[in-house]
Amino acid sequence: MELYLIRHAEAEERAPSGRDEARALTPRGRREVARAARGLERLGVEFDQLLHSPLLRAMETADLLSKLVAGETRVASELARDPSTELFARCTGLRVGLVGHEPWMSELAAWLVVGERAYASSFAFKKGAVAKLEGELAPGAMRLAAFWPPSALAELGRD
Amino acid sequence: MQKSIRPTEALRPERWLEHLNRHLPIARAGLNREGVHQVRVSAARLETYLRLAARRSLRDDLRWLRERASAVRDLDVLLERELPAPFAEWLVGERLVARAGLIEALESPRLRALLEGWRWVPELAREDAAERRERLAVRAERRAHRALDPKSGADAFHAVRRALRRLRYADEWLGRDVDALKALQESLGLLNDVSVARRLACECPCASQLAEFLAAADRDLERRVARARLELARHYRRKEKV
Repeated sequence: MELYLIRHAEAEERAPSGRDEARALTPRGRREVARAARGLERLGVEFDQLLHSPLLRAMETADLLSKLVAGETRVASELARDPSTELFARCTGLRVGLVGHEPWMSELAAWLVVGERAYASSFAFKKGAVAKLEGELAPGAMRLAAFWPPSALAELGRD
Repeated sequence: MQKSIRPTEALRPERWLEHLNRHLPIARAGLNREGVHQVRVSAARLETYLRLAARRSLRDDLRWLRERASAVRDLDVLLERELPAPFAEWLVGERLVARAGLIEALESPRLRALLEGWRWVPELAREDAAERRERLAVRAERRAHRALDPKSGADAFHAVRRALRRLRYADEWLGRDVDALKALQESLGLLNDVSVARRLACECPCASQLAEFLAAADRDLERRVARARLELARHYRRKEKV
């Protein structure tokens, strides 16, 4: 399968409510994801399924990626905590996008590629970064096929 | 549930979110049929809120919940009618399966995540919602014109029914008068009930014993399509005049 790990884009420092979960994307973050979506589209990326965490900044990132979704968009709490095999059970497509947060995106990438979460620092995700993994969805069974920093995707998506 | 909304006030999802939350345990307990119905209608209204907010996230999750509730509700409505005994017996079994599917949904991590996500969905600027409501109106009108073609059948009316449902809920969110849309939707809803009955009768293993029932359903469907066509034409003629 193809698995795309996506960290949410830049979000406001503080939500009006003061709740971390309610932090929305900044205008710049929104622009970046829109450009990244165009960049990914130009690379031929399409998702059978897009899972996102229930936190507002991840939902808003998923909203802006929705033109890449051929199937279902789905909320998954497992993307807002330590990676677990429960998350794997939610992935039902062959090309799945996961929109989540740090440090869990890095931990997930390390776990799937190396088999050990301790290598997370080797897979640090900037806001808006996307990693493409290929292989069987199991710890240590995937290969890192690409790792796009947000600037590269923005460049690809420029008008 | 109607509440007057001041023209400048932002739209907030809390009212229907609370409605959904209140009816989830009622639907889970199965003490009355209304709980399931209310889960379905509140999920549909919240789906429309997300359309008005141009948000894709949580929409498929709400549709999933609504479909699970609808599977039970459609059977509840049908079982209220007088039906041939073997068909009714089969439907009772189907209802048990649909109910198990609904319970699974109500106890699922997906529902918990959906409710968690809703906690952070922000209010919606009224002007943005009003602008997107116009798109829903255009879509509904396009579908209505398609259904008004004398060659179109029940499917075209189901497409209108769905589009008008969204439009009605959009108008509710905006605090507008929905009486005309509600009346039209009720008429199209009756047509849908007959279609559902017909489809299930065809799927039933005892379908061969239901020739009389199916013939009556076909006649009923034809009548209701004719009536819906008339009401739809009247609705849009009236709108043109306005």
